[in-house]
This record gives sequence, C-alpha cells and structure tokens, in this order.
Amino acid sequence: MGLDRRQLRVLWDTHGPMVHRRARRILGNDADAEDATQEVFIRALSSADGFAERASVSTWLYRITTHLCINRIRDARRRRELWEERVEPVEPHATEALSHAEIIALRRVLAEAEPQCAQAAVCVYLDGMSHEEAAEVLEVSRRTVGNLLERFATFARKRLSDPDSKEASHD
Amino acid sequence: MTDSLGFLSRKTEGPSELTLDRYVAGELGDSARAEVDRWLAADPTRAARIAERRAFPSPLSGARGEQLFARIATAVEPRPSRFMSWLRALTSPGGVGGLVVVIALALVVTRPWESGEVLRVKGGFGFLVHRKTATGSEVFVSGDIARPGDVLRFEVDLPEPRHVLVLSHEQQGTLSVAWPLDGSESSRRVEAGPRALDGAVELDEAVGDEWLHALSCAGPMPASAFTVAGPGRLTVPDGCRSIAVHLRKVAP
Repeated sequence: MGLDRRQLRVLWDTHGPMVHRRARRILGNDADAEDATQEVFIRALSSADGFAERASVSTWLYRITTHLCINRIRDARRRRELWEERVEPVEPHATEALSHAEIIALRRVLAEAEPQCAQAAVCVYLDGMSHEEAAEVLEVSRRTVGNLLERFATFARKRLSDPDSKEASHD
Repeated sequence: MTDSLGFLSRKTEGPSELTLDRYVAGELGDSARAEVDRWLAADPTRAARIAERRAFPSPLSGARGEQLFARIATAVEPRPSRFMSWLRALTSPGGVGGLVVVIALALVVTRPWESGEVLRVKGGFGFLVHRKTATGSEVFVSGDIARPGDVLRFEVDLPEPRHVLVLSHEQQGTLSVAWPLDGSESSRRVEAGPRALDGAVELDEAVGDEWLHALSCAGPMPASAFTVAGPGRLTVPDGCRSIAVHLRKVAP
C-alpha cells in the first residue's frame, strides 16, 4: 500500500470520520456505513495510485465512497431494506433541507436509477455540492453533471409518481 | 408521493459537505479557506459542523473505531501467499502442537484442491474451513473476512485415526464447541485421510476476531481440557495438536 502504520493512522484519523459519515448519509444506517468505510479504505489503499499524488484525498475518497455505496444500495436485498425498518435518521446538518420522506424517496430512486445518474444525484441533492464540485468528484464535465441530473430528475418524477413502473436502470 | 420530490429543487446555502471536509483536512486553497472562515464567523453555531467532522460519530468512537482501523490495517498489509497463510495458520497456536508442525514442514507436499492448491503437512494434520457460496463452496483462508450468517463446514486430513474437536474462540476469550455438533462437548474419533466433518455451523451476529481451533488428540478429550492462552492461542494438553484459522468477522 506504500504507507506504514503511522501514516495509515494519520490518514484514518483525518479522513475516516468523513468516509463513515458520507457512507451513512447514503446508506442510511451505521452498520452498513461501517462496512462500507472498511471497504473504501481497503480499496483506496490497495489502489495502484498512491495518496501522495492526490491534490485532494477527500475528493478521491468521496468518489470511491459514492461509487461503492451506490452499488450497494442497488443490491436487491439491501434495496428492500432501505425503505423499511433499517433507515435511521441522518445527522441533522447534512441534509437539513430535506425531510425524512424526501430522504427515503431519494434513496429509493438512487437504488434504481442509472448508476452514474445516481452518483451525480448524491453529490448534488444529498451533499449539496455545486455542479462544479460534483464534476470534480465524478471526473466528468459540468455539462455532463447537468445532463446526468436531468436524466435522474426525469426518472425520479416518473418513478415516484408511478411506484408500479418498472425499473429503468441501465448497468 | 409528489411531496417527496422536494430534493430535486433543493437549494443549499453555505459550503457543501465536500468543501467542509476539505476544509477540515487542510486541502483548500487560501481563497476557499478564507471563504469558509467568513461563513463560520457569521454564525457561531456553525463551528459545531466543523467540530463534528473531526471525530467519528458515537457508534464508531473509542474501541469500535480502533477495531475498524485494525481490520483495515491488517487487510492492507502486504499479504503473504496462500502458501504462507496456510503455514502461519498451522503454526499460530504455538506450544507442542505448533512445534511438531514446524518440524514437519521440511516434508510439505502439495495436492490439488477444489479451489487451487492446498497444503498438506506430512506427519501433522490438515484443517480446512469451507464456506458455503451461492454456487458451491470456497476454502476459507486464515485471516479473511467472515460475516454473520456465513455457513461453514470443516474438513480435517489426518495421517492416522485421531480424536478431533473444533473449538470456536472469540476475541473476548470465550470458547465453545463448533464440532462435534451433537452437544457432547468432547472430541470424536475420525479416521485417517481427508474427512469432511458432518454438519455445518452458521456464524452468529458477533463481530470481531474469532479463531477456529482444530484439535487432534491421541485419545478422547473433553472441551474443558483446553483453555485460552491469549488472542488466537490455546493451552493444549499433551497428546494433542492444534491448528487455528483466523476469522475477521464484520457486520453483514
């Protein structure tokens, strides 16, 4: 991994809470967030790209966390659980503009939308990023972020106004 | 359901989550940092949003967070080859059993197995943990991650008939019988050669380190004859040999 134990400790202390909080925000409960946090760090540290070359480790870890968590909520088993009893309240500040019903609805749509659209939606609707920030995290252009959000919004409106409609996800 | 679409028109005031996280990590340039400083200064209550970013939330603070860190650190350490993992598993219990296995290593031979090659130690005995998968089973390598609900079966490879017992050793120091499954709390005679032990066990909800000790004894031996000597280690009576497989159990 290229980091000794002391360096890993510094990285963990600096970014561990961030990754966990972000995973919890997307997945909705501590147990899944803990598991995702472990997986994010293992993936990141096992990556061929070292940390040293990263201008922003936070942005990089955001990207990995978003990708991993979106994949997880797309899992059929987890998808069922998300809007049942396991959805816990999120921390008050992170999504203060969203009601509990909105968060539940957002997670439901995230589980079924196209993965890249879902990732853009997490960045903008859940995290409150600007399109520019989302573009940096997702490594796409601002215009692409706009297009992804437009597709996500179309799908969300259709999905939530017609809950019986078939999934429209495209892997 | 239309009300739930409110997230599509969400307008955020102030810095995004990413910006605040980069602020805490010291990754912002001077201009962006100054902008966050001004935003914080405008409302003293906003400082709480920074403070909360510097620590794990309560479910992962303290020992829980340390356990998670330890699991990550272990997982990203340079991994020994499958060969070395197996040897480490064979020698980890220490004591007489471990010593006998180490001496026998000069005679290690390999034989094909269902998922690659697994070692057999001549003069000692082998212990395999198989985990059920969607399509069949896989051999569980010591040190790998396990999850509550995993279904495991055991296999031993004995050079001669022995009395076998498998003990589950949790990180809190508790020991319980994982095989035989008949409630006898004692070893059972197993014939020589590779033998799948009857029955399967399902891992419980507890997370953390757990070791499965396979114990091979010359005669009948009760589970109470074995005591914990430390993390992953047992005190083994004379006439018995042991092999441990380490499970790092995480939440499902």
